[in-house]
Amino acid sequence: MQRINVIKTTPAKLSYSQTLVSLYSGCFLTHEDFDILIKNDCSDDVNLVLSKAGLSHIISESNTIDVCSYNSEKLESLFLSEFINQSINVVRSFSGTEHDLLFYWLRQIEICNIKTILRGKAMHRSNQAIEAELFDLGPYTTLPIDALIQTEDVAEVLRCLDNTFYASLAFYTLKQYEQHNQIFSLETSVDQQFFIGLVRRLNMLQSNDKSQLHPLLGRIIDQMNLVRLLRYRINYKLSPSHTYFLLSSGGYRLKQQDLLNLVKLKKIDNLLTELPATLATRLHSLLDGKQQSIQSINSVMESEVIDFAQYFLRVESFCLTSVFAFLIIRRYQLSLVHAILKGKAMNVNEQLIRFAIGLH
Amino acid sequence: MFSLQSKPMQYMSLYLLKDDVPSAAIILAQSQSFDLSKANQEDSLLTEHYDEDYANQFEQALGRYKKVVFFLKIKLKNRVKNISHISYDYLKQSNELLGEIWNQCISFEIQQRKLLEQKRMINHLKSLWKNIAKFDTDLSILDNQLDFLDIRLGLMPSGHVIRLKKSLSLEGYYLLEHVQSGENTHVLVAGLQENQEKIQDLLDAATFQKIQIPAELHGQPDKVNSKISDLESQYHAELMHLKLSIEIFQSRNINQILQVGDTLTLARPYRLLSEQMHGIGALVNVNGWILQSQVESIKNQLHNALGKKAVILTRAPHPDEYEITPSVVNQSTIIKPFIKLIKHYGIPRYNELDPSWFFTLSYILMFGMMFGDIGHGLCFMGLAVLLLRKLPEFSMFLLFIGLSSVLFGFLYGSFFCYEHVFDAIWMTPLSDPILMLEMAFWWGVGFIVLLNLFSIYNRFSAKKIRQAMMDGQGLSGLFLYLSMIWLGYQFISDDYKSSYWLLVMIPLIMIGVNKWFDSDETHGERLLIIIIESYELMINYLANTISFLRLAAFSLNHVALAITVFTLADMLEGHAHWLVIVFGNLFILLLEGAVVAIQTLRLEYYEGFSRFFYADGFLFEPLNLSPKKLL
Repeated sequence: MQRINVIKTTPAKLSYSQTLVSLYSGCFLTHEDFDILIKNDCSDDVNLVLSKAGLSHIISESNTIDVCSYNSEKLESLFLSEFINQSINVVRSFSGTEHDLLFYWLRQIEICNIKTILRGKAMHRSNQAIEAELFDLGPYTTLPIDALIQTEDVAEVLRCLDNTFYASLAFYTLKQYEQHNQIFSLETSVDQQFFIGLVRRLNMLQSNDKSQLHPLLGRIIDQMNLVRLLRYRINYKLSPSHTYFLLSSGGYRLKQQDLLNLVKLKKIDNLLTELPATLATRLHSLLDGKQQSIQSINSVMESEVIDFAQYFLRVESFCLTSVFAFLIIRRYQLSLVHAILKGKAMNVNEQLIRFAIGLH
Repeated sequence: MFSLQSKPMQYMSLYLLKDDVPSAAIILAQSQSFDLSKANQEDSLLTEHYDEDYANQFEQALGRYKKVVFFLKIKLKNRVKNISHISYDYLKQSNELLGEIWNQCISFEIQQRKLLEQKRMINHLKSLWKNIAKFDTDLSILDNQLDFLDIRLGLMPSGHVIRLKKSLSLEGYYLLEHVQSGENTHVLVAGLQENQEKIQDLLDAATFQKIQIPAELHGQPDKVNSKISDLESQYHAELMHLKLSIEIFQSRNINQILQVGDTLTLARPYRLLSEQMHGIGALVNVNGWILQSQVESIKNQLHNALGKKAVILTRAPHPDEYEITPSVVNQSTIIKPFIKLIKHYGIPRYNELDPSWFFTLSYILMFGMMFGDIGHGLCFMGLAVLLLRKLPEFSMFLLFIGLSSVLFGFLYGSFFCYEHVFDAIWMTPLSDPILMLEMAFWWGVGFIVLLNLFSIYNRFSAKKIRQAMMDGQGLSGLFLYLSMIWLGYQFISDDYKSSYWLLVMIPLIMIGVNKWFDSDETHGERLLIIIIESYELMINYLANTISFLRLAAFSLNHVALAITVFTLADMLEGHAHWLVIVFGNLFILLLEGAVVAIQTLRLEYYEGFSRFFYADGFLFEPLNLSPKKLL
């Protein structure tokens, strides 16, 4: 049954968020900035870009003035806490269903932690190794991390989630795991449950907010659906019906009927040809000259989401979608910066870094 | 018992041979006076780490132990028998034993979940039968008994239904929703027999649970109800059997589990020491905080046990280490509930004044001032006696605030809101509200002055001399506050001269100079900050003082509420009159009592603690040998 939530975000509070988003958006990097980061080893130029990205205090905090000798995990965790702090500041003034949706979106990071623990337990990795890979959410952690780490196997991890926010996600994932006993089914189920929750919350928004937000969140769902569809049909050879079931509803350009048609196809070329015209044209132009691999399609779809988020933030008046756009761009850019610094620390060549992060 | 500061601590550096660390760990844990928290490694030459395997075994065993104790609801002992060091092999053995015990617990847990699932399915079967009984159908049709058709009756999450319906259509199947029950829906899936293998994975992915209709129900709709009852009885029997099995398992293994608990308790000090110790070769260094009163005793014990191989260095903590030095807060049992309220705000930093006694006394007094009534106070005390066994700490709290209410009740002459039962020793609040407000104001002034003195003391003891002299909460702040009060008083007394402002300006300039040196901003920004923050400081002092007027306001409010109750009661006669009196008093007791308790806490936290209390310390938690502290 749909929950009735009468609390509304007031215009004054919305202005507070708008000010913060404008302030934080000054930290967005351009393609040229990323070029400087990739090309230069010189710490001065790199530090200039990092301080533009609002990261100078983090870099000095981690004692990593020289980007070639920094601790990747430590830096990633600092980037993440920077992102979380900014996100919480921006999201704080929202209330009711909008607040629920925004916080649910931020829970993605905890979902990543759940997946890391599940993967670690399934592969019998040591507790320390699993713990080292977890994102530290500081005071915003809701998962019982210690108890989860101390579990003996995947099933116990899922049972341990019983009394948390993720209880229903864990319940269905456990059922899946009991039936298939595969890591693949675990992660699929976790993702599927997350997107079911997201679409449910999206549908609970007022129609105005919903119609503004759908093009952005719908594009993300399209990206997930297309990539998963390709992976399930081509890599895992799942049946059309099974593949269709594992996809999410709520896409923007890939409607349910499109997905029903696409799952019947077996080859990547055919699939790309049969995409809805608007998406096919856009994808072809972005993929121009590139190999049609699932990874390249994923990065093209991702950059399409980012382009749209940037366009929305630049052109449209401030609303809930602007906050989402900000969160998506900021997270994406921070992950790129981290990937570039990590690549440089590992002496990976420029071309490979560009390929890995999908920045050509 | 009556202490105003944490017990004095010493920083202790131990240089030992690696093989002696286990014995040292046991000695330190037995003494319960050595805390490893936040102690820095001082010797940069000793860089090797030790015994990670021991730590891994310990952590895994501890995790299992906690789960076993929680699952089997085991009561832990207070102390261990036979104190000795636990070797790695013995620890590993105990860990393996715990692993076996926990595996058995997991199987019990899985059985519990299966039984819950069974119960859920029985309930679904009942609700399903309720819906289809009217059709007088042969149930075998719903249980895949046809030659060409694949029919499955099942239960699945409602959120998956639409998607599954569309997915099944790709394989030529049809899904019919039957009844929604909670988050699940009963569905009927039908298609050609020849396609049945294709949809199995899909149904699994959708967590479709086939409802097995017992064979004996086929074709006999009239007997279904009794069969469902049989299933329920079977479920209850299995549940009882499982509970019994768990109890038997617990009683058979309890001694082993407690013994493993002892093992972990004895292993823990070494595990904690090994995590912190650094060294080179056979030489290791461990640092920590020790109670000053125990230094000599510990030195003697370590030297007796380890001979001259142990080098023990101690020194007092430096002022810049106070933030990382643990505090031993007041542990007086009599004021425990008040100490809890303080801890809720924060732990006093080492060498900071412990506010326990001040908080307790001022809280009790302020509560009484706002809620002075002999009858109501006696009710609190009566409730305290009733709750003494079940909630001992809360009853102490009630006892103290009740006593305060009684005392102020005598001063105000109020007994269950009646003002003529006892003569007021002082006066009834409503007879002179202005005097009440004046008293509250001067109480507030006294409170703030006292807390400023605490603040100055804390800054001096932390060797922050400039802060103590020139900060807004230091001597200058106190001077500023008293000048403001004096100026205000002169203004009211018509004895005001503009030159008096000099008394306010002098401390303000000193505070400004202090802020100037504290700030790293540009000159213009510093000036702006000084102007804004000085203004804010003055406003805050004023607001903080006025905030204490609530002491008078609530005492007047108490009388006003009483008048309301009596006015309502006087409109009625007989039993109704007394009912209104009783319920009115109950209302005042509960609602106003709660509001006053919260308001008093608010005064303590915001007008008090925020003024002088760093509250960023942490508790002294020494190594120990208590099995209960493992959890």
